[in-house]
Amino acid sequence: MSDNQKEPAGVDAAVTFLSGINTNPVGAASSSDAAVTFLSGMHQQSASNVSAERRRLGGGQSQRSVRLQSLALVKNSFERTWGVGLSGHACISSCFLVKAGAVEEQLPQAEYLRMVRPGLGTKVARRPAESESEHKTQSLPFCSKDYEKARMPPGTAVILEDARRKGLYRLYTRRNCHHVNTHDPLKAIGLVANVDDQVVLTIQAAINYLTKYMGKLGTGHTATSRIGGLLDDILCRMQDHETMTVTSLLSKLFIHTAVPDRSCKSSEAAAKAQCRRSGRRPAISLKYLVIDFPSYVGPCMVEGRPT
Amino acid sequence: MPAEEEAGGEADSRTDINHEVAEISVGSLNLHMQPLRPDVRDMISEHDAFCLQELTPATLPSVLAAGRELEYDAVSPAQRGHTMLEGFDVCMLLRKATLKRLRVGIVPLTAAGVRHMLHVRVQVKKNGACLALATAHCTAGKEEVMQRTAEKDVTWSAIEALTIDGCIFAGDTNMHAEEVIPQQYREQWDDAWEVDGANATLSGTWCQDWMETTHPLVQSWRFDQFFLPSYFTVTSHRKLSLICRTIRRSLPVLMLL
Repeated sequence: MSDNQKEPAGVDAAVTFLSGINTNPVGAASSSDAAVTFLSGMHQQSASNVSAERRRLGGGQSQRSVRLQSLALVKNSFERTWGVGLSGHACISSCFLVKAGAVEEQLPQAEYLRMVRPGLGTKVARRPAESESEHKTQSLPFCSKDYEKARMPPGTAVILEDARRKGLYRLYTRRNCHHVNTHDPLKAIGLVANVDDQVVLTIQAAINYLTKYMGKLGTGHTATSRIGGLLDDILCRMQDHETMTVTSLLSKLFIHTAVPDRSCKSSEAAAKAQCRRSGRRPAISLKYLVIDFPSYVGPCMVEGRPT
Repeated sequence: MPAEEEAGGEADSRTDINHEVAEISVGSLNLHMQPLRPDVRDMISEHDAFCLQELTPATLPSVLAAGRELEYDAVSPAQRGHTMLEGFDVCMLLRKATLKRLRVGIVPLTAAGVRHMLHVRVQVKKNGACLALATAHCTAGKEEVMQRTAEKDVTWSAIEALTIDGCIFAGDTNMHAEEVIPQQYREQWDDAWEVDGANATLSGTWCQDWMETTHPLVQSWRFDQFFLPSYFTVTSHRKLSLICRTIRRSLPVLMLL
């Protein structure tokens, strides 16, 4: 950052990077309300024949364009040479002026976001807006939870050299995001187990999930009789003085539907037998925990001691 | 491989960022599957960065050898285990004295195609500016406009995704005279030839064997081009913060062990 910088009038920016010499106060940043504003590099030189319309678009467009002037073509440097290397193509060459500044000291937010959420673009996990046409939404890839799949920017996808190891190339596919991809090598190594996670981001997705598991019926059952039987089973175990909230009832109902009776019984029998041998208080080997997130209430199964 | 090792060693050395203006020269040539001749080698040595297209597997070793002798860092998808399905690919040579290679990226131009865009993030040693140099060889043929447009889309959006001080595309776009930069990129990208005054005498870059270079048709075959950005678009900081916050708040992961 140079010392001769001053914030241009009218800039309503949360972050403003000023570097180099800004001799064009009427440019993009002067009237922009962009949150990130760059005024870097030299004043536009040979490339200054940008049309007035472009300047207008740069200043006022809703996309919050930011103009970087760190690269310019050297005037009259474009050359063409015929007959090089027996090729039918001409060899073209140009000279460019380059000035540092745009990525100096601080990474712009877009890059930061890519580092924080690798594999994700800024538009991932976004529900289609109502304004988006049906055709447009149909063409976008959506997951079973109605969320748009990762759309990695092409530049950050495919084969890229590892930032820390020269010569090591890694394959980055569209689904290598650990938030969306069910296969996460790091997690698998850490847990020494296969994991199958699903991201549940909406209450509707949670309802769908519960319905799916509650709807698993045995032979000869109807949904009503199955759920009715389970409710009776739960309610019969309650004492007269006990009360239960609807959430609690649904949680218990889910637990009853999600786990086969046989596995519950065998686990409990094994636990009781172990307790008898050790002389300790009986414990339930499987415990189901309901996690209450700000925007979602859903069950989560954990293994271990009861709480 | 020695070039790789040298580049790896250089990564440790820091380049101070200053406000000096550095000048770099960039060249591009479609070799047209010809072997590397001494005049191409001389042409390479006159530039800080030189992009080659239609480089065959037979020519690649000589290009790598020339790069070593001239102290250039040679980068090609063929070095990374890519098979040249069409019998040729692209390559980039970077003068080590001027540019420090930071990271190489290989982007398929289209899902169905076999061609790649090669982009290299380099740091200009004189002032520490971070630059992306990219090259590609787009599909030829007048009837392949749609394919070519899709390839250019990938090229531009891939370069725009990088955070850098500037980027230069130098390659064989195979764009015919009537083809122009699409509307959505016209505000962000400049054609160096147009910026330099659109001199009609320098227009054509391809000439068939039976033609003279002064043939009227040649002017319309401006296949080899430089593009440089006139704008970068950075998404609003506030908007991104909001996205982060929303995701952090609503990211319950249902563990199904």
